[in-house]
Amino acid sequence: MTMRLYDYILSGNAYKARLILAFLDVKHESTAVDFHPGKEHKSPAFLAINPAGTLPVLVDGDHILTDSAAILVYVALNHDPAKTWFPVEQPTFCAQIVSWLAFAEQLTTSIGVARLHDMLGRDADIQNARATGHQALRRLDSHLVEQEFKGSRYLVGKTPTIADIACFPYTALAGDGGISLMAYPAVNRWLISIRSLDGFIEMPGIHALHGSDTAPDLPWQSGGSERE
Amino acid sequence: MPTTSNDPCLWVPAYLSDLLMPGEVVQTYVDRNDVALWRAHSGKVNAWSNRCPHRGMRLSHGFVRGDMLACIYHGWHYGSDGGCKYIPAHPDLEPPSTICTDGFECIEQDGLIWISPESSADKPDALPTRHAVRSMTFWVSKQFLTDALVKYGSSYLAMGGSSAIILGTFGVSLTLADRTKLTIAVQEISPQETFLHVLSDVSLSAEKKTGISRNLDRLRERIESEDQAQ
Amino acid sequence: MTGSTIVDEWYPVGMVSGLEPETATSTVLMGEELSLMKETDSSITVRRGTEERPALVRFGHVWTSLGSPDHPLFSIPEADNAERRLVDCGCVRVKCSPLRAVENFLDIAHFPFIHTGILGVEDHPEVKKYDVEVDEKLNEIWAKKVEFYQPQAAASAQGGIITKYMYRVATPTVSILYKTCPVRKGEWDIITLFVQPVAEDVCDVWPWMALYDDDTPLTDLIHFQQMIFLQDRSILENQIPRLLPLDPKLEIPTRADLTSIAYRRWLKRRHYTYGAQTVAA
Repeated sequence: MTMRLYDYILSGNAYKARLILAFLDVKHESTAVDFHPGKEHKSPAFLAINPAGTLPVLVDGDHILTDSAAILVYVALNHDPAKTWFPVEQPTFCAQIVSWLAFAEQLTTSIGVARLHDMLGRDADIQNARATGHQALRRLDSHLVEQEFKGSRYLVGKTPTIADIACFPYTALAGDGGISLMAYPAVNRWLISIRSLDGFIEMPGIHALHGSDTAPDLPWQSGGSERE
Repeated sequence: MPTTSNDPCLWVPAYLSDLLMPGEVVQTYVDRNDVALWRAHSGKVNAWSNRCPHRGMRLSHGFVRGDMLACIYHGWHYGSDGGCKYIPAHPDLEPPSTICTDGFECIEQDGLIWISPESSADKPDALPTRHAVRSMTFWVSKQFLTDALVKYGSSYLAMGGSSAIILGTFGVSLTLADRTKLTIAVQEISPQETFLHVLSDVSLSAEKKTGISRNLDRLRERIESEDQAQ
Repeated sequence: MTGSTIVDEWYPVGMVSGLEPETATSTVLMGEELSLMKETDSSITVRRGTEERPALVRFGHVWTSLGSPDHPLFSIPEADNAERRLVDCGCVRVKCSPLRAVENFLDIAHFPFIHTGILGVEDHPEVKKYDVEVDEKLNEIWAKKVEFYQPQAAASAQGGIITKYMYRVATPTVSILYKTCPVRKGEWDIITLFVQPVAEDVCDVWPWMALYDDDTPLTDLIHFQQMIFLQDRSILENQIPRLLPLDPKLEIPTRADLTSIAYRRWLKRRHYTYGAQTVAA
C-alpha cells in the first residue's frame, strides 16, 4: 500500500516531509488538509487520524506518524539504501543529527510562530518570537562557520542529512516572519547548498534558483527571437 | 593613532572576499544605504543600490548568470556596468541605456570587499591581514563595539597577546600570543547592529579558527550584555 | 469623473464563512479598529466602537466603508451562475502597500520567475501587446487580449496552454481576473484579489474564486491559490519603497506594464493616495 502524506502547502513542517520524500524519490500519495482558512486539522475526521490535530501526518499501512522529525527518521531508515541521510552505521553522526532534530523545534517555535503571526494573523508575542528566532539563527550560523572550517557545507558530517532537512524550512522562510537573514552569512551559504541539491523542491516563499555560470544569449543581439 | 591622507570614512569594509562565492548575491548596508553585493562568475565584485529600477524589488533576492545580475521579480538582467541588458518580457528589445542600476565604488583589497558611497580615487590603507576567519553581527552601535573591542578584545581573543589598536574608523588590530595578527573590521548596519569581519595574517588551521570563532561568540555575549546594562 | 474619495470607497473586511455566530471579530481598516458580528438573524453588522458602519455581504466577504459610499459595490454578474464553484481562500497579511498588492496581481511578466513551472516558464517569457482602457462610465480599468503561455494554468489544468486573460480593476483595492477556463471551452474562470488596507504599508489580502471545476477537491483549489499568492508575498515585502510611487520617474515601466501604468495614472487622477508615495522620498 502506498504511503499517504496529509499535507498543507504552506506548512514548513509538512515541507520537511515533502523534501525527504523528494530527495529519496519515494512514491506516495498526498491529501491536502485545509489548515487555513478551513481549520480542517481540528475537524473530527482529521482528529480521528491524528488526535493531536497537527500536520503533517504520514500514514504507511498501520503506522501513523504525526511528527515531522519522526517522519524524517522513518523515511530515511526505510527508503535510503545508501544510508547517508540518517547514517545508522555512524552512531556519532546519528546522535548529532538527533540533537539538530530537537534544535529544529526551536526554529518552529520562534521563526515558525513569527511567520504564522505575520502571514496568517495568528496571536503571538511577536517581539519574543523574533528575538528567540535570532538567537537560534546565531547558534546555527556559528555551527555552520565551524563546519566550513572543516570543509563541510552541511550540519553533520560532510554530506546532507535529515538534520539539514529539519532545519532548512523555517530558516529559509525567516523573511516571512519579518526576520532578516542578512546577519548570518554562513546560514545563507548553507541555504544555497541545500537548494542546489539534486531532487530539491521549492515551497511558496522559497523561489527556484535561477542562477547559472553563463550569461544568457541575448535574443535582441542575435537578430530576433527563435521562440515560436 | 596614525592619520593618513585617505579619508577612511569613504571606504566601508562590507564582506570577507574569500566568502563571497562567484554567483553569490547578498544584502548589506553602506552608510544606511540598502546595498546588493554580488560576485560575477568572472570573479568581479559589484555593489549596487538594492533596488531594481523597474519595480523597486531588492536585487539581493536576484540571481547571477555569468557576469550579469538578474532581478528575481521579472528577470531583468544587468551587466557589470549596471546597464540593463535583457528584459525577458521583450526578448527582441535592446534595453535603452537609461535603464541602469545605481552603483557604488567597490574594490577588493587585503581579503576584504570595500564599498564607498562616493567615488574616490584613493584606496583604503593596506592591512597586514587577508585570510578570512568569519563575519558576524553584534547588536550594538559601531562606536560602542569599537570601544568594547579595545577594552575586551585582548582578554577574550589575544590570550596574552597585545591589546587592540584602533584602525581609522573601520576596526581594530590585535596580535595573539602566538604572534598571529588579526584585523577586526567593523561595518555599521544600523545604529543598533554592527557587522564585524575578522581576518588573520596567515592561513589558520580549522582548530585555531574554531577557537577564535568561539571566543568571538563569548565576546559578543559580554559586549551585548554590557550594552544592555547601560 | 474623479471617483469617490478614499474613505467613501467599499473595502473587504472579512470572510462571511469565517464569522462565528454572535462572536465579535475584530479587524483593522486604514488604522481604524472595526468589529464584525453575525447577529442572531444571520445578518452581519460592522461597528467602529459603538457606531454602526454600512455593511454589505457579497462574493463571500463582508464589505464596509469608513465614509458614506455614494455608489453600490461593483458587480460580477458571472459569479451568480449556480454552476460555478465559489471558493473562499482566506486571508494573508502582507507588509506592503495595498496598492502594490493590486499592481502585482495585474502583472504577468513575473510569472516565469516567481511562479516558475506553474503560471510561466522562462522559455516563454514574452508579453505580447495587449489593450488597456479606462471604462469612464464604470470608472474601472480593463486590460484585454492578454495572452501568456502557462505550463499549469490552474489546479484543473492538464499540461501547458496559451492562457487568455482579462484584468479588471473595479476599485483601487479590488482586482478581478477573467482567465481561460481549462475545462470549459469559451468560459472564463474568475479569480479576484480583494485587498483590505490595514495601514498604508500593511494589507490583508483575500483571494476569492468563481470557477468551473467540479472535479478538483475544494482544498486543492484553495491551496493552489495560496501557493500562488505566497510566492508573490516575498516579492511584495521586498519592494522599495513599500508605498506605490505615483511619480512616473521613480520606476521604469515597459510595454508589458501597460496595466500598471494605467493603474498608477488612474489612482493619481482619482487622488487615491492611501498607500501611494506622491512625492519622492
